[in-house]
Amino acid sequence: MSALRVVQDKLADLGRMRGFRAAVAVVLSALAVIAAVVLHNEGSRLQSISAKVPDILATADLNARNAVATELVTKGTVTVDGLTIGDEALAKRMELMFTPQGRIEKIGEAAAQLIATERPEWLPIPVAQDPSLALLAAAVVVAVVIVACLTGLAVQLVAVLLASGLLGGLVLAVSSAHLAASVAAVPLLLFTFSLVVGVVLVLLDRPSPMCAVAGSVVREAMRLRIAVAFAALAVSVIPLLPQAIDPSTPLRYQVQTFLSRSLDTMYLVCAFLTVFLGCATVAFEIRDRQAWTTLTKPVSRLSWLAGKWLGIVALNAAVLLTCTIAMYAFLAQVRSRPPQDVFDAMAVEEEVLVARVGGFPEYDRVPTERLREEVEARIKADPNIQADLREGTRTELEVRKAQAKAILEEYGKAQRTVAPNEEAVYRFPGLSAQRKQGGTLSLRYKFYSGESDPHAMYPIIFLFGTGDRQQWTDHSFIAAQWNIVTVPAESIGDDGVLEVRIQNLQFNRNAGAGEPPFLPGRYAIAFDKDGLELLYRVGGFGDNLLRAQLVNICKLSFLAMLAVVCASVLSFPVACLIVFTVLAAGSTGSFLATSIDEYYYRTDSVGVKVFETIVKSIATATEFTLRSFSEAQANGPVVEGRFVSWIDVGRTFILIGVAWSGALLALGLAVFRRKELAIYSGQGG
Amino acid sequence: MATPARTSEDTIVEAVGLTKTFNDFWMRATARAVDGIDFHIDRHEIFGLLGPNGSGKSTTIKMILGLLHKSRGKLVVFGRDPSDVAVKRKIGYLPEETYLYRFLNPTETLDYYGKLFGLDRRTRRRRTEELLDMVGLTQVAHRPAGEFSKGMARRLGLAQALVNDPELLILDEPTSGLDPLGTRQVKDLILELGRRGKTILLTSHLLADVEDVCSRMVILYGGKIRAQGTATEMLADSQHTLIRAPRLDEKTIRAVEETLQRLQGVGIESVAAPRQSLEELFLDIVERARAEQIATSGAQSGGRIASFLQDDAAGATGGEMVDQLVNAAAQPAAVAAPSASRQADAAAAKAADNAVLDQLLAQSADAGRPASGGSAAPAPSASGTSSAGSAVSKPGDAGPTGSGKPRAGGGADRAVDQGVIDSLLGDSNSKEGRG
Repeated sequence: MSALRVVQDKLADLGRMRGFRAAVAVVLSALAVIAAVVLHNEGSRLQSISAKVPDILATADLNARNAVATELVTKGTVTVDGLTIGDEALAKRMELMFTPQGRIEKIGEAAAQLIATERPEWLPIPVAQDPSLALLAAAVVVAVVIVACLTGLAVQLVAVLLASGLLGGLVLAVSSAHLAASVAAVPLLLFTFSLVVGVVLVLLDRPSPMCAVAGSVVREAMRLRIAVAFAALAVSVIPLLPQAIDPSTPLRYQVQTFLSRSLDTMYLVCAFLTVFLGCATVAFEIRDRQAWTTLTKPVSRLSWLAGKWLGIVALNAAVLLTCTIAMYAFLAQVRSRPPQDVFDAMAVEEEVLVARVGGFPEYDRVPTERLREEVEARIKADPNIQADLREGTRTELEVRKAQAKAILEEYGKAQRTVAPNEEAVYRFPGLSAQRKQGGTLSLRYKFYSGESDPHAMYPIIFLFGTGDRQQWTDHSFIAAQWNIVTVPAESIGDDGVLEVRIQNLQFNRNAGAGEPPFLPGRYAIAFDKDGLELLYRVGGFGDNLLRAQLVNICKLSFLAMLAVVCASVLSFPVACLIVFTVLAAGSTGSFLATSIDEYYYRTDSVGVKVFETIVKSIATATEFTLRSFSEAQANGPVVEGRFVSWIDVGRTFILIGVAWSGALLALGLAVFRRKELAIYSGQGG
Repeated sequence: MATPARTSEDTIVEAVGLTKTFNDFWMRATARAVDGIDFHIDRHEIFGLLGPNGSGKSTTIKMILGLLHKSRGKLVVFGRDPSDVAVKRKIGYLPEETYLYRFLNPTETLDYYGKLFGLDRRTRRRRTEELLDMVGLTQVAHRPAGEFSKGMARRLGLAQALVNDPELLILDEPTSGLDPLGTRQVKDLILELGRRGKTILLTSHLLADVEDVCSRMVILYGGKIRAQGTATEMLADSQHTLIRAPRLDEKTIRAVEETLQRLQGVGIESVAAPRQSLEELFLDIVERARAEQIATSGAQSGGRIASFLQDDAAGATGGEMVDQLVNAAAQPAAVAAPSASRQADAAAAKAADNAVLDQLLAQSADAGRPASGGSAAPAPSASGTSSAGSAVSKPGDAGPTGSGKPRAGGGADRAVDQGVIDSLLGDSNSKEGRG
């Protein structure tokens, strides 16, 4: 022990030396800057090439067999400023991209494929797309290094870097570079977490009871290793997730899988940390009587509870921030994997790492007068209805409502059905901004046809736009599953309306002379009300992720308040049980709602029926109470590339973060104020 | 024993008919820990709440602090309800057991509690340094409290109770877990704080600890007050007189006895050679070890009283005088100076004692008979404290444990040895001058 103590003391002395700290700061900062400059220069070079390639491709003429076209179809390359980019494997693909007129139709796609071969593996895709990110990252690293050295963590920083390097080197010797990077990242991320917590403690270092209590919670979590254990779990899992994702699947699914698992890991780790720490810090402090010493100071019980809550929320924020940094870093690793094709690569950028809003088509409404006439006609024509009315089995109002509902459903279904060889038109309004933005939109659909065999493919034709802008594409879809087709933004009309025609036809590719180019589909196509949705980009992935994390923080804050309040009046195990139950019920709300509908027993036993009623009542009440919590899901939309709006954030903040948490606090305070913290210890009678 | 309720600006704590009954879950009374007690604590006094285990001492304190709600009666602290948060700004509390955060070191602990009082960083830092020095924990300032011994934790608990320079200091069993050195230092600190104008409420079932420091006390049993009053009122034994003299031979003792028999018709109930108390021996050993600079990993001897724990009324001059007294009293066997009221009592007792001795001298001069030697007379032990004006001597004691002064007795008609009288007078003067 003494030798270890000596080493520790020596290292502590070294860490206090100004010269050492300065040297560490200078060396590490220099390394970060050099790396950033190298990355930035390479990214800039790639960008300058990317700017020139489309212009060169535009000059390719296969019919005229000019040099550019010939090089493309024979070698799969193109020459830019004396530099040859591309690959022989692209030759066939390039040939297919020429139109009968000898020109390349989709220049952007072709350019992207060629440029992708020029990007070195060590250059992350985000830096290739925006070289300034390298400089930004270097600035952050330099700031972190300086803060670490100023706060006396220089020795720890060097130790962490050495440990990372050693671990990474060992793994690299026996495995892949990606796995080595994953392993090496763990100590760095743990150190980052320590730094973030240090900043949190500085922010809480104020002469106020609430901040003092919050600071003590953070210290308790760190010194007793509670927070460290949970953070270590999260920052160990996230970097290793890419290794567990099958690289043979489409890249978009790999990215979505990584996002989904990372976000769920983050949230669950924070939720469990909240439950355990929130209940422990309050319940044990009351049980072990540290609360006596604190609450005999000028600290109101409100300040004490609020301080406990604030400390837990601050820790959650630190864990989320560290995990988000980890997720960003390893998302770049996953993104750099080879896509299956250009569409796969585009899907990652335009359907996953993006924030999209979905819109449904405008359906025609049945005119009121016509509806009334139809209802009257049906009532008159149906002898059963007449009989019911005569006998008084049903009232006229009930009959009219039922008939109107049936007519509207039939009308709606008819609009959402396309018979073989028929066409249906759907309009999507309000897309002027997307037209100006350009690019592509995604039409997401789930159709049913015939027996909806999941192993069969069903043909369909889509036409987008009208007049000169109209474009069409033939598709084959899998019934009863979601499919996506890309829609060019230029198809949107000047009035901001996109017209989509769906034709139940099959394109006859092998049509000979005299044969029709299109054949009718075999079965009618039908879809549900939400079975046809147009998705368009309204923002980027980074902002979307930020908003999603704010939603998560609001939910975790509510859990923290629940834990603190429960533990202030109940014992630790009971408080944990309650909070876990709420967490589980809140997280599985939609599943619970569906299960309640399906929950029944086929029995005549009264006892079982009573039991069923009781269980259903409890489940229904729980689902209803926690519906807002379960509906405030932000991780799913991020994974699907859907927009998490500021309205969503605001709604979650006000309802869950303020109203629910505030109500809990008020209720808990009312009970806690009456609680006598000291217990009887004498023998009187 | 009820005391009429007093309303005074100087009354810090007032309890009238204070009762606390503990109930079970079904609200049935299970225990009446405090049963209709009346007492008050005035400003600047050191008030003792005594009683055996389970007598209601801690329950009373917890009601004063708002940790428990009273069942009946009236309880006012600084003119307000005890649950008022503002009241706690003026209170410092050392619980029965020291409940510290195990993961915080002493510096962080005091900083944390300082923040709870809204102290700015500079003040917190200064007070933390002074308090840690005062309680002898500077060397372990960065060690987690979870590694502390009970005594060290107790010292830190005392420090946190003083961080806000409280007007009312509540100490629940303050010497619990402390070694004799620590006990002595705590008692000295209590007396010093009392001299500086702090009001102190302390509870204990160790009567020897309380006797030396309290000016007024209440004795509880079964939740009721069994006795209350000043130390003088409660502890005076008017039935005996204690005289301390250098070692006397058998002949002298017989002569003294004959003198007593002649003058008052009483004999000597016991004669014994005094012996050093275990506390004195312990303190002496520790002092010698310190002088030899033997290392220890535990708490160090406490330093000066923290400068921020000033008495506002004393002013700078008073503070300097007190500092001198404290410096003089910084030895392990230091004798604390008596409070003003006790000084008055001491002066009165001294005058009476001098009158007795004058009478004895006069009678001795008349009789012309020297006192005979003999076995040693009972003498007070050198315990280092002087309780004002009272002497306790129980029949049959081998040696009294408290110091005292001889009370005025009846007239003396027998001569005594002048040398004995001179030495008696010399001892009395030197004891008053110490501390």
